[in-house]
Amino acid sequence: MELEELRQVTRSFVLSHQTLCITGVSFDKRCLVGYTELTLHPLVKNFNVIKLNARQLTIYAVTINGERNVEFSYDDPNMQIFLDDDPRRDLTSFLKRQQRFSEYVDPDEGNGELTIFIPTSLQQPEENSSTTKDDTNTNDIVYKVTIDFSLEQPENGIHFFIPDDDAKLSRLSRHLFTTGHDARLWFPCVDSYCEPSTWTIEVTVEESLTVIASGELIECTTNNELKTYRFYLSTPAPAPFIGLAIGSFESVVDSNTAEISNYCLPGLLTLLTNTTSFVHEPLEYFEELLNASCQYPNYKQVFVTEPHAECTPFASMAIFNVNLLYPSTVIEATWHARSQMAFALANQFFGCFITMRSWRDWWLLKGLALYLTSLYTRRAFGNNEYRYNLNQDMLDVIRYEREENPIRLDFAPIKSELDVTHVNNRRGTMMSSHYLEVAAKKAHLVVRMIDDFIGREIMMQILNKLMCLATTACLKDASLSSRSRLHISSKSFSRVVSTLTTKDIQALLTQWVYESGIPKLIGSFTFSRKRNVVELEIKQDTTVKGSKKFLGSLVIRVQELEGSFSQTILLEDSVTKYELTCHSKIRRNKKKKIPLISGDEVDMDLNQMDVECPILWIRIDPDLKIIRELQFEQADFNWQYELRYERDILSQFEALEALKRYASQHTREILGTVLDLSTCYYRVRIECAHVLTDIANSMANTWTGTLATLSFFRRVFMSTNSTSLSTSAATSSTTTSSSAASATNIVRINDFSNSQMYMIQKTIPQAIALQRNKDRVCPPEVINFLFELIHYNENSKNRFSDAFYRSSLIDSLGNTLTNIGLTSTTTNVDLLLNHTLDNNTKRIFDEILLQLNFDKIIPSYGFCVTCSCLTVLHKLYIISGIPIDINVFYEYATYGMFDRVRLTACKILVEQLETRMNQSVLDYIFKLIENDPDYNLRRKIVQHLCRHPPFRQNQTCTLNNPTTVHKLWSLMTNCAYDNQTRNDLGELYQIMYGLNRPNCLPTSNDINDMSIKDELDDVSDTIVDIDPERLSYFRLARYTDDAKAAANKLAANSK
Amino acid sequence: MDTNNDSPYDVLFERSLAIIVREYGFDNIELSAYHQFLDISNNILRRLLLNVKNLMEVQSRTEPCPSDVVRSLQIMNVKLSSLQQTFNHPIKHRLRSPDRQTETNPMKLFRVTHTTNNNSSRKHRPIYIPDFLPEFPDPHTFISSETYADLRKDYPRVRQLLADQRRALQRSLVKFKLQTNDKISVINNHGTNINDYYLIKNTLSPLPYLSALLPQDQMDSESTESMEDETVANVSNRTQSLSATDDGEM
Repeated sequence: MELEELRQVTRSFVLSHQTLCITGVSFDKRCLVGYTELTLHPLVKNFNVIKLNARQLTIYAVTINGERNVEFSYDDPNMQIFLDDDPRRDLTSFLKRQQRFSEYVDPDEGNGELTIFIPTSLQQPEENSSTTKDDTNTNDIVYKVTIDFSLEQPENGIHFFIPDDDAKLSRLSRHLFTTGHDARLWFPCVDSYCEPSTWTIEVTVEESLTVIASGELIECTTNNELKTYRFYLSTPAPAPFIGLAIGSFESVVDSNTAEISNYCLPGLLTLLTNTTSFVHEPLEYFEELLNASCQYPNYKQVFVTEPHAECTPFASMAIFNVNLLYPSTVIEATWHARSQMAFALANQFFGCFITMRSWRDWWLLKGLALYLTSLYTRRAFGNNEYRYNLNQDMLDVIRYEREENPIRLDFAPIKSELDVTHVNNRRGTMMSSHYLEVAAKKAHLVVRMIDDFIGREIMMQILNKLMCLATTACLKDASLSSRSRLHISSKSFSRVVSTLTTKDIQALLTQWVYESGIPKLIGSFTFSRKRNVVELEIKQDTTVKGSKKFLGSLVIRVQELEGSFSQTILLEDSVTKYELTCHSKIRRNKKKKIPLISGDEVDMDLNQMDVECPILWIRIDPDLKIIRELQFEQADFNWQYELRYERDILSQFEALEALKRYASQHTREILGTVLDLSTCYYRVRIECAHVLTDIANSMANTWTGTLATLSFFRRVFMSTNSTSLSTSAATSSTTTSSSAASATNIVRINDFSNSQMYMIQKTIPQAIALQRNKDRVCPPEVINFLFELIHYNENSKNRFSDAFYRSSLIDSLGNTLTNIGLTSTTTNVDLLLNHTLDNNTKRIFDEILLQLNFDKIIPSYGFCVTCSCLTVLHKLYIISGIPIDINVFYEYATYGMFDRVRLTACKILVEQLETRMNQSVLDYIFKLIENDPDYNLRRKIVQHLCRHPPFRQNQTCTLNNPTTVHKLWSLMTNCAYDNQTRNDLGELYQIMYGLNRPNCLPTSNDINDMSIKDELDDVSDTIVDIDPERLSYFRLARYTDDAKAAANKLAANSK
Repeated sequence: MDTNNDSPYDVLFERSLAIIVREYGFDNIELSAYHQFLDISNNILRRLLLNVKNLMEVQSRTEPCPSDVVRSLQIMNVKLSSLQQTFNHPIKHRLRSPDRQTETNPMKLFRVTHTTNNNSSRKHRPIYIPDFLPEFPDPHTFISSETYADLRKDYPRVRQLLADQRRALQRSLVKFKLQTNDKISVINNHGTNINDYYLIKNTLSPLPYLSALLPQDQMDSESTESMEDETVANVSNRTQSLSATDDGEM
């Protein structure tokens, strides 16, 4: 079995061990010097060429088995997809080239940038391997390839963080770390996920620095103010999962498990201790769940600045963004930080330890890691939070498939280059970030579906089996071929499933993995009193974008007067009708209690109900067993009962969504009741407040009284002062009515010890602020209320920080803004500010400036107040027409500000571009994408541009001009080392210009000629210094598959 | 008193010596003389400790014991009986703990609503009291006045006061910073110069994450609780302010 799988990869050798030795690190010159030694076992007879991956490196010399200065060549076609003077500007040819170049260096096809020619003296003579000792011979021969290299001023792969000044703390804070899984960007290797090997990593640095790398620290020697760290990783890992971080880190060892240690930059130790205090919990949980221990001897978490992703897991370590650290006074950072760290830990089992075989299996590993993470978060944060997140993920996936691209999780290589139709329909390494992000969510949902299909226990048995198999490959005397157990593919996974259970998941995979699309179900029911059955009709709408017919079973849950009954029906056609027998009779006696699915029995007021029908409500697929878009029709009272009495939060959310359509007095009352229910999940209550606002707005003309949300807030969070009021009335007549009124309006001193109440207190003002009266403006009562909240906010007795609360109040102020009644289009600033602008808007403007300035003097956590202020400032510009100087946003986007502030400012600039189409802003944005030192920000800007492009294909816009085309094109082709940004730029290009030559460019005959030529030209044209002999090898290796044939033979022999 | 010395030891030493001097009845001392004193005492102490150390080493011990001190005092010709005498001497002045110095006055919630005899002086005595009797003491020592807190209005007023103060503080801080720092205009004013809307110009930091992740906005609430914990850290700061105040008057 294993040999058969070896054959899938056309590499002509096996890597058993790699030594990576970094002999010098210079922060001043931003460079690394070192060598690496690969121990290779050839698989083919005529082993004369070794292809390795290496980019942006300088290779000095190659030594094989002691023979120095072996001939090698090094070419990296991905440096520049097109030459600068190439006139082509159509995305199709770009995508084709990128595809071809990517294949040209793909290690899984036996290719690479670095070609090493084995000298004839070292090649084994062909005759030798004839008959006598055939299989032993190939196994015995070992090549030790040593490569001396240096890495200078890397753009990607390794990030040097070097502060600009010479202060002591700044010098201490200098550090470097690996940015992602592109190992070839910082040392020569086989940059494939299915070539695991053991590792020795040796790093020599100045004495003051600490080195953290994958593996176990086995030796640390000091010599002449230089310190050498030697790590050994006995568990085989592929090169992409080798991580490294160097800097003067402060560290703390986990108090519960000595194997876990955490590192952070100087000055942040208290935050580190607080943030990482829980990490042993998920580790223990995963080990217990999988019934297998983590195969790495230790686990290190490093928090660095400017990483390319929030969390990058490596073998036995993980690198996080420093922004995940939080003090104990901040409440909301906990959830996110903990799930990120749990995710990195889950990767130590599935992801880094057990890896994907190829990019086609990316979904499986990603899904498994997310699945484990969500099991942990369910345990840590509760079932409601888990189900809520699940539902949000599903909604995201549905939205993406409906509005953007179909998601096919199996990133199968496309068969011919002519099939390139979309940026996101290519190899896994060439997908855009947004696509990958949503695909990961879908992958998680699919893995959960498999779990549902085969059962939790069996799922755990399967994972345990995979872990055990992989563990045997880590033993000291395990053969090299057993290392294939360290990577799994969709096929091998489904094989394991079918051997351990009798179930076949192939159909499930076909529906959700190999094909894209999400079914849209439309359901409705009628009750037939005569036959006492529910006639349920379910239609599948296959006309909407990204939809797909679903055939299979579906759970229907009917809540009747006598209890809740589940039934499974089979969807067979696009329109299906079912008759579900009803278990209850219509009641005359309405006093009896009604049993719910949870086992509770409740009293209900059944007056609203249809007296002829015993059905309270019906739910389709209540447990999210499939990914589906659901549209279900039932009467308003059904929804109201569902919201009021159903205990499942997903059901409540469904009901809330539906109730938006049924604005009535009774709905309003029900919403008010649920808002008040302290037993209800806080997110439901918050959503309730939003729906209430929606309903109030749609009923604005007939609406009387204050919003229930407002009175709820006053009752719960404000001082009622009722006792003093009564005494004042009794004792003294001097108390004026105004002071009594002001007394009732003061918000209580902040006490956030109940986090659910805190979230409600924080979020509800935002919902209230969205209220509009019949003139379509926010009622003055609401605006005054918000200002009072801000005025009387008092946090001095609170254990927690109120930073996010304050920023939420500022967001609320932003929510009140409307452009109704804004008549003037005057350009006279003076006139506008002092006369035309209404009083409240001016007040908001003043407040925002005050808060923005104050946050600069006394910063809030993560500058969240600044971020909110900037967003509202932008709204004031867009909605209220205050001519905000664009320089303000430039000011906040400058390098040297905190990155979340920068990101907010950049997002505002991008949105500014979308509405105002300002050429100078576009230039500024492009400059940031090209030059900014923070690569994460570059990516985020491009991603945001994709969601808010200044124009779409064929739209007329002043920015849609040749200059923009050329600029974007050169950014895209020259973005040499940052693959992900290049992919995102490709997506942006597609959104803005489509696949063909942009319309704003002149079409000329030369260009047509060029594109015809392009169909014919080969990779060889672009690679200038290629010599014919090597080219012929390259073709040989790709098309005749001699390596494959050799592996076949090997397999036959071993049998 | 000279307070150039930064180290808390020096400051404390200076002050304890001052206390001793005062103990022996000197309310004032020439600064130069006092410095002489300081040097001498320092010398004596150093000598004493050196002796102790030597003795300790002679007897190959690592920690001194009382006998070492006694022996070294004898070597230095100090009469033990005189020490005994000093020890028995009653102590009038004590060195105040540096921590207790910065106690803030409690907020005055209670007010004196009606004060009688507010401007009556002690010379105002009734005629039936003969002249040879001593004068009345200050009126506040024997006249009581009823006080009560206005509980009805209290809570909202306190809150309002607090909020107003806080806001005023915010505004004045911002205003101050705007006047002292560089600023940028928020409004794109196309040449017209009507502009009250400014932002403080950002100062770019090489390590921006530090100020963002270690926020200061929680300080005012924590200061009350954490003050006890942080006393050790603050001692050096406070002794400086202390030595400048009352204890130093000699």
